[in-house]
Amino acid sequence: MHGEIGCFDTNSMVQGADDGIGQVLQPPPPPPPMAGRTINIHNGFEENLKMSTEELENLKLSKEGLSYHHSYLHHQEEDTSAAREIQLQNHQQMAFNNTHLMQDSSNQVLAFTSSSLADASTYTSTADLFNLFHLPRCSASSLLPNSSISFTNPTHTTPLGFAGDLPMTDTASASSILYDPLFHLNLPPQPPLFRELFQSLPPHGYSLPDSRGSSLFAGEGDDHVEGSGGGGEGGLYQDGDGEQQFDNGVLDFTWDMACMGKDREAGKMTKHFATERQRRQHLNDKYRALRDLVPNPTKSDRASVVGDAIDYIKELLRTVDELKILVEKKRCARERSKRLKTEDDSIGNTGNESCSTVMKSIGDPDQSFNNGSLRSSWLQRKSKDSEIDVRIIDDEVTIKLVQRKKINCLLYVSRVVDELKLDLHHVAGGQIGDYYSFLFNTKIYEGSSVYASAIANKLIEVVDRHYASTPSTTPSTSCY
Amino acid sequence: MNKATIIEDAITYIQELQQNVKLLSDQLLEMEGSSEEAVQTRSDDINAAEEMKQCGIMEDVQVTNIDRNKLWIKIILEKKRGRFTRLIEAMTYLGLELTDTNVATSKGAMLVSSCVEGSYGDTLTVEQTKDLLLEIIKSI
Repeated sequence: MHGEIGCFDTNSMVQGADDGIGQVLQPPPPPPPMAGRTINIHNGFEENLKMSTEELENLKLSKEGLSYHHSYLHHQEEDTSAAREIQLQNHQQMAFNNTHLMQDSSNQVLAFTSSSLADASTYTSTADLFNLFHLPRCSASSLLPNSSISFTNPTHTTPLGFAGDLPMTDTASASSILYDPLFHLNLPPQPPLFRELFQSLPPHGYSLPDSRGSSLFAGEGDDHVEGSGGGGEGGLYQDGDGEQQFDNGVLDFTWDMACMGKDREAGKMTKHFATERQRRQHLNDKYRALRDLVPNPTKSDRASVVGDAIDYIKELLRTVDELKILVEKKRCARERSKRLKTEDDSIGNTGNESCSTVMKSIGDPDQSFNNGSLRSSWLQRKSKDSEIDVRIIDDEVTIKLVQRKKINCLLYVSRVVDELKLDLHHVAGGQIGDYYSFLFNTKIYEGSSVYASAIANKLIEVVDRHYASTPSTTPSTSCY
Repeated sequence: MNKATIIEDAITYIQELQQNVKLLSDQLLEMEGSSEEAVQTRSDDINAAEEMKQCGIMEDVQVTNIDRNKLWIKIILEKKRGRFTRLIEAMTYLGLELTDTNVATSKGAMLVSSCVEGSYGDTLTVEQTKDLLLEIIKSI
């Protein structure tokens, strides 16, 4: 439980008995020895605790709070007292957790959403509180603008790489922000100041992969968190795609953070989306790009785009298979003809062996390579006034065409069919309401290697061309 | 995987597949043009004529009047490459518009049955049309 990101269950804490306070006040049990610093922290905490207890007289602490680092649930609605209480808890827990963190691998990020508790995100002048702590290098590896703080082992530079580099003294002010709980203890919310402070962070050498603000959730910046914080719009935690991934429930309260910081647009991020709006725009652009790739886009809502993309990908896969078969077929046929021509030549082509063996087994060169698998392909193309459906199984091609009535497309289509070297076997069609609808059953002449997309593209091109070039009433007798 | 990365991956994959298709189709085009096709077509035609003779199917044209403006025609002709297209071309040129068409081929013969209307709005008589069609068939 230590390594996990701690979340407070404020509710549980709220219920605590009065002796909770006493618990808080008591020096925490000595943590496993990691560094003397932790003791300092404890001391610092204790100091602070004592100072703040006066203000927290109505705090009710429960024992569970002490053993927290568990889900730190949403608590915006908690009253400030509860918030403060939790903050107190945080202080202590931070101390505890530091040690725990030290034990753990660094990946765990502790985030305290203490500030989230206090709707009053008070940031300002907590600096003085911090100064009391002498927190050495207790730099939050990640920090939510309003509240969550992650503590890492001050002694070792976290891979989260955050403020571990910061010397305490220099960044007292900055770190004061990091230590949200402390902030909240006394101060009214002052978002602008907070923002400024955040903006001032980079100079301090924060090695966040993202810029400040929400990216303060340090740690693995590799993963993206989809809209962490959901509805929150604060740029601070609303990294676009560069969001960090938080294990273990940081997400739970990052959402809170987001809500908290809704009205706080942080400063611009350099690398990632500063605002939720930009993130949304970027995502919309991607959807649009996907839609542009698809040949027959229908609607432009996201679900349709994705559906069309799925269909198109499947169609492309079919086409690739079909083309591979055709190429193979062509090559075999060529080899065969070459072989026939150069029968005297014993050397022959190296490709002959494979082709010939296969051919011998079946005896029909054109089908040899298939080896039981039928060539099959299917695709659809739609344009404004026409719709074409081409299906190929083995050597039979079925073409369905629906076209808005304007020209007699039968002629054009049959011309195209001839061009494509298809043997018409059956045609059925006529006028249905406003449309012409035709069905062509054809066979591919042997040796021809047409493929589905070629047929469809050609057909729709021809039909559209004539459709566009004819005036509305007179039938077209133009040749092309 | 979140939405953004999925969409990105989809875009990349589609582009990759499109490139693949282009590559393969270019390759195919390159390999086009073998001499065997020409031989095939002629043999097809020859076969068709022979089959028809065997079955005793004769080329035929029938025209009937089914409505004031509509005629119904039935044509049996020998199936040859491209013949159907020429038939349609000729009919369209002469002002016959096929409304509902059905074409079936069997044993080297092609049966075309269709509703025909006058393209230019003029009414057609049965006799005229039949003569016309016979002419067409002879010439294609």
